[in-house]
Amino acid sequence: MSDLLEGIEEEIARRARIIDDPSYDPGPKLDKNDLIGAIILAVVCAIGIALGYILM
Amino acid sequence: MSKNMDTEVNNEVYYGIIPVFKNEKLYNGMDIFIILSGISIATWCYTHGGHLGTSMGLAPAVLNTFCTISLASVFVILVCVIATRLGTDIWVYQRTILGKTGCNLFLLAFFFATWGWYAINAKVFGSSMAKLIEALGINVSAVGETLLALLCVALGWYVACRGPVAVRTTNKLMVPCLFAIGFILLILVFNRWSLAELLAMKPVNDVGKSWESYVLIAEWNLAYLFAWYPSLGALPRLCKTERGSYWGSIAGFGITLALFVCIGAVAGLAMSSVGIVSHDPTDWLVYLGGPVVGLLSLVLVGFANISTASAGTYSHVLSSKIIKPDMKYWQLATLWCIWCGILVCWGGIWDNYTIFLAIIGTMAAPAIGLLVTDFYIVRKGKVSMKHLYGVDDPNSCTFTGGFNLVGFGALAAGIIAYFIVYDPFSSAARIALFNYTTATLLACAVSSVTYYLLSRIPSLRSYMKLDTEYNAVSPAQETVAD
Repeated sequence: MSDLLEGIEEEIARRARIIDDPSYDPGPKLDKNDLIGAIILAVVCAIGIALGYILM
Repeated sequence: MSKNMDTEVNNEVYYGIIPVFKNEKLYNGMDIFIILSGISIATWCYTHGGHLGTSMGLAPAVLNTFCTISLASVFVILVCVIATRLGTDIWVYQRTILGKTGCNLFLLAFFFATWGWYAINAKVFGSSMAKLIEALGINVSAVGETLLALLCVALGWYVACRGPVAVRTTNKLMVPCLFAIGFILLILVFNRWSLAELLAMKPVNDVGKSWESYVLIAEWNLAYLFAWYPSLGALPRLCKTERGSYWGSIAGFGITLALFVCIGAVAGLAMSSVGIVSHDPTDWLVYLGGPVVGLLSLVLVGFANISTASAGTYSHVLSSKIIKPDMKYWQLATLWCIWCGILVCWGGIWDNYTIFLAIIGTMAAPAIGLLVTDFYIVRKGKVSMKHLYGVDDPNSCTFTGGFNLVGFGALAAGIIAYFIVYDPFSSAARIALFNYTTATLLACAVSSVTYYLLSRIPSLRSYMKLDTEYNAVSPAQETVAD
């Protein structure tokens, strides 16, 4: 195994242990507001698709 | 480890597969929007749009395209959030779905095809530069145009090798060019034709006015969006927040991409009405813009193609590092760019665009379905990084000889469903079900449902290590280095 690969694997192992720790905070997750936004976008697009067919 | 080795290893955070800590992430939502726009609104938007514009009338083509792509992006971009949350590429994540060897092979198969996009990008760069040179009175042969196309590949390689900051800087400079090209095209088209005239134009390769035709156009649009699957992880993993990643990616990969395909559809339709049936935006720009505006636009196209090549090269090379992590980034980039160069010289991607699109869509749709189902539904967003990377247990993603048979079974089910309902070689539906589901969405759904149902079987759950791989550790002090 090359020194670089060994170094990479050691660093990955170190980071994986830290990230797997429940106290590690990866940052805020998507929330209800994002879900509402996605639903609104989806509904608007669905209406647009229907309109496109009507205008054929 | 020596200091040099420390530096080399640390470089692998941005040039390799080492997971990124939160404080190491570089991009906010606006950054990811700009960079993904740089990849997605390249000249292939005009290629795809031009194809659509010659197939269906303006209003249905635009509404179908914009709304189908934007709607589908709401689902597809959930894949980007996986990369952001875990700080790693989706190709590392997919080891747990396809097995370590299976993931590597799937990546290779997919990437060999995906570089076709960058061959198209390079071809248009070559075309635009050739036209510029010819405007100076110097004839450019077909060989010369190919060499110019290869120059685009080389420049993309050069910027990509400078790293993610260089990619961001290049795209911040070049993406405005991409937007400018689109708006110049729209202005030129509407300067010559009124909206009423455009709405009344008949497409030269009309697919008809039936529901079946409308769904066929939707299928092409869905395949076009899903085809971005291999690029959905490498850059969003560097995004600081999930919200920035999700909405920045929807804005870049979804809405903006859809908008520029529509611009291509408008221009393609308009140009076909004067006998120029071409998917090459440089033909449109020169015809519509005349000597000055047309040539200026060609310069913008050239610059824009370089930014696309750089972002795409960085993303794809980074993802493929999972196969050989200790390979130098520039070496792997060189190998892929040589492959891209071969595709440029062959030229077959351009001539067989719909087949190329279908081949990619066939594989991408089930894969995206598996990713979203596995992460959000089966694992409920909880994944062990030690499991993904084989820390403590090198065989964590070995399964059966390196292949997760459950994942591949679900993938195969989706691909089979695709071909049952649709013939991509003749672009024709095989059975009526296609007209309600499209092949892409059906393949995605079949893979997802199959995978989920299989994951509910206790013996298969055990095979997939679903109940054992995530072991919560006791709370500890956070030891992330600043």
